[in-house]
Amino acid sequence: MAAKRILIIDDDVDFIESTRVVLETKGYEVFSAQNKQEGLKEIKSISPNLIILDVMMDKMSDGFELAREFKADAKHKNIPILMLTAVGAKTGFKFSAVGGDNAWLPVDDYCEKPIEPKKLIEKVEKLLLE
Amino acid sequence: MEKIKSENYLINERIRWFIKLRWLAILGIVGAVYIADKIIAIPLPALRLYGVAVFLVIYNTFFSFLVFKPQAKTSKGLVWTNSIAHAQIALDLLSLAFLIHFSGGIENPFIFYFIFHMIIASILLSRRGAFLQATYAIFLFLFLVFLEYQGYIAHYCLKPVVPYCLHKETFYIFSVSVVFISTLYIAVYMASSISKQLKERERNLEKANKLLNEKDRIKSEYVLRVTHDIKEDLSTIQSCIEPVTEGITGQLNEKQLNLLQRAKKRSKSLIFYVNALLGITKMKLDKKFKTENFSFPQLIQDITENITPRARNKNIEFTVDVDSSIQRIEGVRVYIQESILNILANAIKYTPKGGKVSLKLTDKENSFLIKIEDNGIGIPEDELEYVFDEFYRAQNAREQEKLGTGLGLAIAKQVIERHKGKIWVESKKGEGTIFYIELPKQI
Repeated sequence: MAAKRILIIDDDVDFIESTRVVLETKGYEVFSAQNKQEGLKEIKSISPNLIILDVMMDKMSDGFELAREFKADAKHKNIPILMLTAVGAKTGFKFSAVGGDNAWLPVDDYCEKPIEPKKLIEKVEKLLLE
Repeated sequence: MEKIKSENYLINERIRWFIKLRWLAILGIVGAVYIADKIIAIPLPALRLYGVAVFLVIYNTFFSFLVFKPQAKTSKGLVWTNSIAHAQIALDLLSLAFLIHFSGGIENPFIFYFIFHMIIASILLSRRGAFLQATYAIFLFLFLVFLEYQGYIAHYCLKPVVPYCLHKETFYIFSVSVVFISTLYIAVYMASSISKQLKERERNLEKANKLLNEKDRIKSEYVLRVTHDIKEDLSTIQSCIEPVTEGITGQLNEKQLNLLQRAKKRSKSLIFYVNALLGITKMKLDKKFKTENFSFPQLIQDITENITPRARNKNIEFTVDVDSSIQRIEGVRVYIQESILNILANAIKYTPKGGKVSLKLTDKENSFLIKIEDNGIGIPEDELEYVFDEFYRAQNAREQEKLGTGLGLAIAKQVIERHKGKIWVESKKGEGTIFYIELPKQI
């Protein structure tokens, strides 16, 4: 069986590297992009099995917009998104408050940074099973 | 931060005080007339004097109605408040002139009671306003004396207080008038000088307070920005260290692991600190405060589940007592939970092994009272007033526990005050501490 492909979209290169190390040891193939445009391009070219997405990149809402944009596309609709971010701390935004509202925030799971490697793997495995 | 009261508000307050004072004055007048009439038996027109008292009652009632109406607090502008003050003083002076007229005119030593009104005018009004009232008082006095002197109106002699009627004694009238006029003007000059300085100071304080609030807001925004940026870096540091300490990148030797684990622990405690700072700063800047209605006993239950294992670890007896009539409360659940948890966690932290910690929730008529008591190390008396300050940690707490943000109680205070509640502490070093939180049932 071919390795599952995970795309990390985050503007923090160091975060991408540390997450890559964790995921690669579990046998996943890891790709990365550092902004919204790059991310959309990568999604088309590699068709990932899972996307790990940061909310705040160039603009504060980049992550939200990207999630909405590509979930609207029937081809990618079923790719799960794990939103991983520190945004809650800055905006006071509570993800749990909008959990399940797919039109507004079409992500499958979320977690505030930093996330422990064990927890990250747990979440990734769960999302890939679904 | 305590709000400095506006000038208008302060004048309003004083007007209210003078209205209350006037009720006392009316009682004084009635009493004095009764004594003069019935006990000393001075031949005075008592009925007319009582009439003046009735006049006072009427206009004082009227002004009470104007000033004590709930919406009258500060809704009207300074001009309106000033007009009320002017009108009251003018009516007081007129009443006093009539009282003096019916009780001996220039012979009556009570003429010097005009000075009180001059002091009141100097406090309530501008300097010009006060001098205007002084001139009006002098006019009333001279006019009265003139009319009595000329015989245009009756003179009620104050015998036996004075041996004979003085209202036609030119030299006496002249000297009393000179003293009277100069006393009034000097009184106004002195009182208004002091009052002017005080008013200016009040204005400056108000301005300084506004500026301070604005600076505090800017500071909070700055703190929010900086702490958020720090948190981002810390999160990444953490995510780089953790795969290594957890052996994902391969086995480490004991020394490598030891050092990295120390780094991890410190970055974790820094993240905790930054999160606390973010929490309190966000709350300060957050103008909206979305409350919900939730089960108070359930919240206490959740808190208990969180605290019990920590208490057990230290062999501390932890008891919870919730008044069974208590059902729901209005508030921000997560904030209230954090505040109570924080105080309890402190109680456990600073209570020695085998000690006691208790949480008691009681129903007071319009509020709930939460009492958190321990028999731990206590807070030194001279530090009690600072424990709710940001970043403050008591000396003995620092000695026992090196790490700590000094923000927990500051956050709790912020939370409780946002809920229009109160938080306070009683403690004795070496004996224990009691924290009280009072939360209103309706916000």
